[in-house]
Amino acid sequence: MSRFYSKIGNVKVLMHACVLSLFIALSLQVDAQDGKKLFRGNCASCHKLEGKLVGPALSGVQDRWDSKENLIAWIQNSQQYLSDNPGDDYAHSLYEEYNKSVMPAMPLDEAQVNAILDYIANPSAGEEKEAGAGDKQMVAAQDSGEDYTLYWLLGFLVVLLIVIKVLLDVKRSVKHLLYDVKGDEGFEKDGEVQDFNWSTKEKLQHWAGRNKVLVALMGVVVLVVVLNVVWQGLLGVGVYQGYAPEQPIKFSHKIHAGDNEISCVYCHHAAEKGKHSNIPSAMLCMNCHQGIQEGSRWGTEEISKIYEAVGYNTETAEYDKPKKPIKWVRIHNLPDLAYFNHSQHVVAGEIECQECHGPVETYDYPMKQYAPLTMGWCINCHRETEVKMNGNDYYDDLHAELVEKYKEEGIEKFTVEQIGGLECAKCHY
Amino acid sequence: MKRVLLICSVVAAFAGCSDPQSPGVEYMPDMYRSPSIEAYEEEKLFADHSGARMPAEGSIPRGFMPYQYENTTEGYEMAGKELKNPLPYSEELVSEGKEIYGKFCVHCHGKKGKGDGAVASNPKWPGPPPAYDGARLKDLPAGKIFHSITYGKGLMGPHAGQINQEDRWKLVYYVQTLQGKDLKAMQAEAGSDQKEMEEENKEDNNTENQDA
Ligand code: HEC
Ligand code: HEC
Ligand code: HEC
Ligand code: HEC
Ligand code: HEC
Ligand code: HEC
Repeated sequence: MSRFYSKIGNVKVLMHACVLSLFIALSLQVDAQDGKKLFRGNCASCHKLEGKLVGPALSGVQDRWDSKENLIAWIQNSQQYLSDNPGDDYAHSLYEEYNKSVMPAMPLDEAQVNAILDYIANPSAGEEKEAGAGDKQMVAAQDSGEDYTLYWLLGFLVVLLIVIKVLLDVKRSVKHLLYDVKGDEGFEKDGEVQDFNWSTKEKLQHWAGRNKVLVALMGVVVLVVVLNVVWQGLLGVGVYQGYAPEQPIKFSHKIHAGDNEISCVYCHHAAEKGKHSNIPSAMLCMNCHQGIQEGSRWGTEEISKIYEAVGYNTETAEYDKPKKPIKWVRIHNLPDLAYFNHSQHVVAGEIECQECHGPVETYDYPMKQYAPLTMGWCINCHRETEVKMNGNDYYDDLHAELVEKYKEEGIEKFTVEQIGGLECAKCHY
Repeated sequence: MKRVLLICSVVAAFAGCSDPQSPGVEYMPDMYRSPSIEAYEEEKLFADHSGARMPAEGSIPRGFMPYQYENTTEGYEMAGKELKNPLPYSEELVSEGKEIYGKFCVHCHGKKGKGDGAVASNPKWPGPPPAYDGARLKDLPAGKIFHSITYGKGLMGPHAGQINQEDRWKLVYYVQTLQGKDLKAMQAEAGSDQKEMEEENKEDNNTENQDA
């Protein structure tokens, strides 16, 4: 480098110095802009600007510390700071207040800490506005997603009525015209209406008398339709398919299992262990909703119901309020006379939740029952589904036995029926 | 004929009505809904009307060993020092751990443990978890990982209710691979000279505690 400079002379050195200082200034600016990013990346999992999270709110923190050096030293390594400064009562009492939960040492240099502190002192207003606008957009998008079918239908009906009315008017006008031109004769030939003084009933009887076959046909059609409706209705007795009750919290599977890719068993963890697939406790919701205190759709309205249920106080970040369990409305409910076991199907059978519950990750609030859960539905599936035995140690012994048993028929693959899935006592006992 | 039609349509209206707020009609539900308490049923017998009961306080399921360390900073440090993975290392365990990780952790910590899961990158989530192979967690000992999964840490909630101890230890193996640890080498070393290893570990942990 130095040889380079000496060759080219002083002017160039100056220029280089300029460029260098510009570069430094720029990099400093980058740091300042990165304050927000650094904050989100390193601190936001414990600190908010306003309100407690794991640690205290950081808004105005510089006023609480007597020197900025100390503050920076604390942020870089709070434990080190505590042991180096046994006299700092404020820091020690803070540590005690937070139950000695340790703020981890931060691998940040001074410039980065400064950038974070700048961001804390002045969280740029522009970006906040942007975020707000984004939220509104989301809401607007939600609104436009509303179901307008009913309005469309009504509108269509109105238009239809108008058209019918106009057509009838035209017909009457034409009739009057004909009457005017041809007199009574014209109508008799048409065989339509002979006397304008007939009541509607008389007209109908007259028409029916002339079209017996048509009337009989129509009668049959109506009867078939009605019987079909009744039959379908009777088949629906005791079947919950499509049941989608209002729930105490507007919980949306689309937001959770769809948009945020949370797997079903994170919440319904008992599905792999036992008969029932559990409904998650409200404490499990808190795993995420201690952090996510506001939703983009309903704001704090729905999420605050979780806090009510577990007695969480967002001010103190502690569970110091009375609890009030959530009463979810049960959707799926087989009669007691039938036995169904989740782990049997999910673990041993390796069947996806979606095969029985439909594309749940696309269901918005409210949740609904997808399958009819009738005995016919179970049996059909048992007849058609091949047991996934390969590479499934649950079946190792059984598979060998079955291959032996069905050797003559040369069957290698087995449906649930062949391992006894149609025996009444498998499901009724 | 008229009357038949009328009856039919009334029946149809009742049976066929598809109001999503109602589960529909149940005909003679005597054996559908037995008097015994079913899962998640309301039960007026109890003061809080909840059919699901907590086990008596202090009761322990058969064959279950409660976790020994308390949910405090001291407990966390002790676990980090003393706890060892009771499952002997094998690659199978790591891949099982990976599967469990994919169900319970990936939406926050991300596929590679960089803290970029779907929930953590949601703008409503306060701040992403640190990367496992980043400066903060790279040297986190197995005991502390287990402790943090069990009780939670900071914004991360406890996962003991969802994942049993054995599965949690499998998770620890997988998280260690995400930390960039060479488990095989570690295991071989532990096997060849366990005592020395333990002593070393103690020293390691002591230095670690100072900056953790
Ligand atoms: C793992 C959680 C955690 C993370 C991450 C964390 N902190 Fe903290 N912080 C705490 C806790 C807890 C306290 C309260 C004191 C204690 O218990 O050590 C605290 C206290 C503080 C204080 C003192 C607050 C006051 O009111 O005087 C400051 C300043 C601070 N943190 C800044 C930061 C910054 C900046 C970052 C990011 C670089 C950060 N913290 C990351 C947990 C955390
Ligand atoms: C964030 C936690 C969470 C996740 C993830 C989740 N669920 Fe749910 N699920 C719930 C809650 C809470 C309820 C009860 C409220 C309701 O019915 O809407 C529920 C209800 C259900 C029900 C109806 C239960 C009844 O009352 O009969 C089914 C079926 C179901 N979930 C299946 C799934 C499937 C399949 C997935 C994966 C695609 C999934 N869930 C993912 C929390 C979750
Ligand atoms: C693994 C993390 C996680 C768990 C567990 C979880 N949620 Fe959520 N929840 C989220 C995320 C992420 C959002 C989306 C926030 C957003 O973008 O608006 C959300 C949004 C919501 C919303 C919508 C708020 C709105 O206005 O948009 C409700 C209501 C809700 N959750 C209820 C629950 C309930 C009840 C449970 C417990 C059964 C639960 N959540 C469990 C992560 C979780
Ligand atoms: C073979 C079909 C099938 C599969 C696969 C299946 N379920 Fe179910 N699920 C059912 C039936 C049937 C019921 C009703 C059980 C009852 O009322 O006793 C049910 C009920 C539920 C309930 C209500 C609570 C209960 O157990 O009564 C939840 C929640 C649920 N399932 C979630 C899941 C999840 C999550 C998965 C995937 C891991 C899953 N299911 C896989 C058939 C299935
Ligand atoms: C795969 C499981 C399964 C098998 C095998 C099975 N059933 Fe069922 N059965 C059910 C289910 C589930 C229901 C409840 C259906 C409903 O709620 O609509 C039911 C309902 C019934 C009912 C109706 C009860 C009522 O009042 O609604 C009768 C009767 C019955 N089963 C008899 C049998 C007989 C006889 C066999 C042996 C040939 C048999 N089942 C085998 C699952 C099974
Ligand atoms: C709701 C989102 C979320 C889920 C789900 C989650 N974590 Fe975390 N995890 C976090 C956050 C946030 C932190 C940072 C905690 C802190 O230090 O403040 C963290 C920290 C950790 C740590 C470091 C703890 C320590 O001692 O410093 C480990 C190890 C960890 N998680 C493992 C897991 C494992 C394994 C799972 C799956 C069972 C899991 N996490 C599920 C959010 C989550």
